[in-house]
Amino acid sequence: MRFLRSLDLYKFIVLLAAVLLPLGWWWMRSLDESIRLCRQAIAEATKPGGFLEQIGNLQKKVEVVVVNRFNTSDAINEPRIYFQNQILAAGGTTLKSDDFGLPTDPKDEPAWMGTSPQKASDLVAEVTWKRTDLKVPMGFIYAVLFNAESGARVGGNQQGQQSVWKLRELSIVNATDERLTGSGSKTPPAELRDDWSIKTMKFARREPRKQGN
Amino acid sequence: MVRSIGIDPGDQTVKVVELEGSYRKTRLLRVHTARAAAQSVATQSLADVGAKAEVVAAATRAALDEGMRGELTLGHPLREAVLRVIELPFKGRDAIRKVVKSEIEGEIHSHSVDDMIVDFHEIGEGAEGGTRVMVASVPKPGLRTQLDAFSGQSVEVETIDIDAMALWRAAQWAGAFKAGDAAAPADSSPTVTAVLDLGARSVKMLLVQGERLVEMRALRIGDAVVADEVARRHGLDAAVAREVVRACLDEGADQRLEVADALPAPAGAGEATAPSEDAPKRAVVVTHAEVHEAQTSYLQRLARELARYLTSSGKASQIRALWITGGAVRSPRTKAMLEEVFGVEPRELDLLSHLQHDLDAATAAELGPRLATAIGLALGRLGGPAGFNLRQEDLLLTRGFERIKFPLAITCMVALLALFVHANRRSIELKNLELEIGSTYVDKTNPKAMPVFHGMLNRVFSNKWFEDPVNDFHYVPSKGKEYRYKDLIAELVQADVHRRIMIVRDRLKLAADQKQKESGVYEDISLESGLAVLVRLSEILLAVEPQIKGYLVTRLELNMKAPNRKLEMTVAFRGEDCRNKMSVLRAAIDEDCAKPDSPFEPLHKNDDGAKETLFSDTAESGVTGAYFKVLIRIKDSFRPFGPSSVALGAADEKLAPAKSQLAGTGGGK
Repeated sequence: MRFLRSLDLYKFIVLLAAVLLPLGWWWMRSLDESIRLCRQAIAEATKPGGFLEQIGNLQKKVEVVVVNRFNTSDAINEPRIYFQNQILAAGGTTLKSDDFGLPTDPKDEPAWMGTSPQKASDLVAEVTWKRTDLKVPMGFIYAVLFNAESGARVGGNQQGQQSVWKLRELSIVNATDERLTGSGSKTPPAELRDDWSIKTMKFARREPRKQGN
Repeated sequence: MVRSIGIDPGDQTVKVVELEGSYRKTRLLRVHTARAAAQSVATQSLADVGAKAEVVAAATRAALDEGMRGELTLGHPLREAVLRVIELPFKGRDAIRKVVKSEIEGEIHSHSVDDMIVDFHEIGEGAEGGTRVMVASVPKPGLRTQLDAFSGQSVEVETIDIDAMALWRAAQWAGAFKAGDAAAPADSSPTVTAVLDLGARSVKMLLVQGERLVEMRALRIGDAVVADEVARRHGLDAAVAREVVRACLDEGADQRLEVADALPAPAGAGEATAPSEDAPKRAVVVTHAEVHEAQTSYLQRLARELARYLTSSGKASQIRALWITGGAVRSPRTKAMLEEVFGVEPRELDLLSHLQHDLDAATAAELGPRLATAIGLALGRLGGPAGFNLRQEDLLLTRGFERIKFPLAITCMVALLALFVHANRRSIELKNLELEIGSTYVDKTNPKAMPVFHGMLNRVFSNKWFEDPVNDFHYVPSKGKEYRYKDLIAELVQADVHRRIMIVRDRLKLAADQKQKESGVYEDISLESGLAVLVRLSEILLAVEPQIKGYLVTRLELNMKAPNRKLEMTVAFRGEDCRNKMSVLRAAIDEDCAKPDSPFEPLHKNDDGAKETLFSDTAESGVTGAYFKVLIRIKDSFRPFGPSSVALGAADEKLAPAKSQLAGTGGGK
């Protein structure tokens, strides 16, 4: 009380400073510390392999999981119907469903994953072309491959989800002249017709194997 | 415990007391006394004043050195003050303080009021609601001399009060003014209590109505005049004369003594100039009769002065009690004189009986009557009634802090300003950094909307990846409920800005790890597109078609099964330049292999690039040329239809005739 009675402007300023300076010092310390932490955070975020890059990589990881997770689409459950529709869509009215054969169950082959610890299986579906006299243009082959790999559906949207099936093996021979397919190395004609005989056509899809499987 | 020190300079003895405790419960800790310089009041010179001040300061210093602690209050002799009672037509200390000096100016003729310290004490209500105040004016030189002496001894006196006020305070503290102590008046007139301090050189007298001080006066007369008379008559030293007078009065007999046959020591020289043992001596006889006569003269004079004062005060008939203190308090003749003058029996104001103290009985009896003023001064700092404060104006106490408070205040202001500016700058810097990282933005127009973030976090969230149900960002902690996008946003809002990017990374990592564990997918296991390989080959062939015109592809075999992926193509060139054309094709393939997004691997060391088989029937057909079996190895991993590919346009062109066969375009209907 005695102190307050004798309080004047100078004492008030000194008193105020006695309170504010330590508080201000503490505030400055916390500001400096926050600035240091923010600079450190920016450096850690933007450096090569930093947080931002890690976030991008982690997002890709999730996307990979999303893309590669077990799929239950018709293309997997009913591969025969899927391939039939995709091939017939490419063949137009000239191709019949009995011109080609489809597997009942895709063949399970262990996938080669290099040094990766990831385990996976390749399910291979072979499309067999029964008619030896069937000659198709290159455009047809590309169309079959495109339809099978893209997953595009007749009358459907092209922006839909991609097919899980990818071309695994393809063997085609030009069918213009029988001599070309032999081992005689005869002189080919000046021009070849766009007739191709499909010897092998296999598609495959890959499934992850959970650890321990 | 509060401690307080009172300094009573006294006339012959400096008394310093140390009190501890409170006003109600007080303890006397120490007493220190020192012989003051002897001089006559009437003959005080400036040198005497200085010497006295030095003695008081030295005594105080000695007391402090003995261990006394506390705030110091000095008593200033009332006889050196000019006292006036005036009435002011208003109340309030602050208002009175503003005018008191100008009001008292006309009342003081001996000094300029500017050379005096003026303070006041409210002693009652004036007429018409005003205030009756007792104003004390003390010349500054005497005060300054005393304060300078204290400074020389490194003593800081907090307060200087008038000694009579200390006497009033001490008497009040001892209960001298309680109603029960005074005999009940016969009539209805107010009772007055008188307090008398019988000093060696002056007599202080207070008149107190109830507990309120109404008048006080110092009479410049004291019992030292008896010793002075003896000393003058016999050529004795003042101190020796005092002892002789005391012995005469106590024993009631003549006193014989031998003193040096020399002039008495000058006043103030004291024992320091005592004559040597070898100096010639003379015998002196001081008779009881002459001492008695001198005392009678003193008492008669004092009685006259007191009677005159009481008459002038108009309160002689109202006095119902008389308290006395001071060195002469135990003199029977003095008591008898006082009883005769005041009409009441004088009673000794025994303060030590009200105090806790460790003094022995003899010391208490010796010092008891002399300590009233010193104790009263010390009581002022323990919460007693306020007296005068003569440390004002240029004599105001300026402690260490007071001296430096102005530069200190300026320094503090500058420091505060600098702190504010610097902190403001740092604050803005921090705000910018936080904006860069991702401080929260809340749309004020839609406070319920989900908060968004600035800076890096904005870039992280702006593509809606976390919100996309396809990515299904979530994870389930070991304990607790499912953690989703909205939980992430809520956590980010609560978190410090610098931690936010790390939090996103950590939560996303948890989500990714959990998804990988659940799905078994730890990396991309999607198969590479065989179609993309074929399209790339088509692009290469289209690109070099003008240079290898007439090429004939007769067989194509693609195997995408890892680890030995390959594309084998049999191509025939007719003509002499078949090898050149093959070389062009090979170069085009090699060029494509160099592109990062090419599905093809560069030619292996052991590969011969293209196996050549010349036409076997050139002789028959007349056409030269060869079949070339081209082996192209395919990478284990590549980006289908990468940026270097012209696939879409080229493929579209190539596939144009077959467009109607593509399922997505509506072909096949």
